[in-house]
Amino acid sequence: MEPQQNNEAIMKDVLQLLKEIVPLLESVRHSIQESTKHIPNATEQLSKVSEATESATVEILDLIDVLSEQLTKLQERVRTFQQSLQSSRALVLENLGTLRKALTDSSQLHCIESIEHYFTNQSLDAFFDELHSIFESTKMQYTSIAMALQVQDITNQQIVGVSQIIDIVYRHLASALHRFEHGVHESLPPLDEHTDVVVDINAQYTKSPKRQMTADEIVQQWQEMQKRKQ
Amino acid sequence: MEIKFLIVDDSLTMRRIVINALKTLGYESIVEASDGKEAIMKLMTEGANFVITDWNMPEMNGLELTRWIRSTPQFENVPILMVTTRGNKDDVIEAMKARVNNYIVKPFTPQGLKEKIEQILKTVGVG
Repeated sequence: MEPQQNNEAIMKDVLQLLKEIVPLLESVRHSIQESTKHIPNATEQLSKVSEATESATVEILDLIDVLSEQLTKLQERVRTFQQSLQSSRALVLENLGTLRKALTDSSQLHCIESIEHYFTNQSLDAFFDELHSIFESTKMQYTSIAMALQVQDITNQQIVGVSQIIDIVYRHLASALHRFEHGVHESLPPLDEHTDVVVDINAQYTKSPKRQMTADEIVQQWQEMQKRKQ
Repeated sequence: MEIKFLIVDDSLTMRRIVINALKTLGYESIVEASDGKEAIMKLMTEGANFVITDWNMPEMNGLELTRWIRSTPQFENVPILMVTTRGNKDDVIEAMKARVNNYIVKPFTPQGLKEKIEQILKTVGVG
């Protein structure tokens, strides 16, 4: 083949390639445009999820506060009742003692002794101890519920972190789209309001003590090193 | 001397949880702030002798707040407990360099919080 014929063949191939590429590029542009349109909605939805979970968590914490307060009041009332009962019992026993001294009839004395026996051995203390133990255990359970709600803060950090990544992708896609359509490089669009918030995207909700143990070791080593320096 | 805590966290949930835990432990005197700048304002106006702070916060983070406290003669001895999700070794070292007194990785337990507060009070007392 002559060089001229060779060039013509190459040109034909290039033209054919361009014919195939142009619709493909148009399809890519359309896809980017469509995806980019949805991104602000996605970040907005994530933001709404964050707000809703925080609001719900605060409502739960409010309820826990109310329940804890009511439980404390109930516990105080029971304690007052217990004290009053103990005082009454002491008074009854004292009066029975006085009465016993004044009586001579054996059947009446037996009756008094029976009543004394009832009041002396009646184990209300065990009942109240159990009741207080239930109160304390319930309080601990309320605290455990409150502590478990730390999951909201931790997952929120992950959500905000993902939102920030989506924002960055959006900015780059929007810039690429602009360059595609206008052939000039456009500066990146402004960051979403959440993007400047520093979050820990690696935040973990775990009950494993491993991370705390590692922190404790470092703190201890640091403190020992400081002591040696002094 | 009564301990007055300043709780600094941008998350309302976390502030409520820390306050709840402190009340369970019998501490009642508590003020709160949502970032480092507000914490400084609260320290200046309402005072506090024990700071519990998060790390990641807008405006001024917990590490910057710690540095400010340590460089301000009026508050330099105030104990600081960092409570954060950041559990990497480098993070803990950076916080210790900034001179926090102790470090808790979230999620925490009331028992863990109690231990750290008591450790600090035993070694440095209140500020």
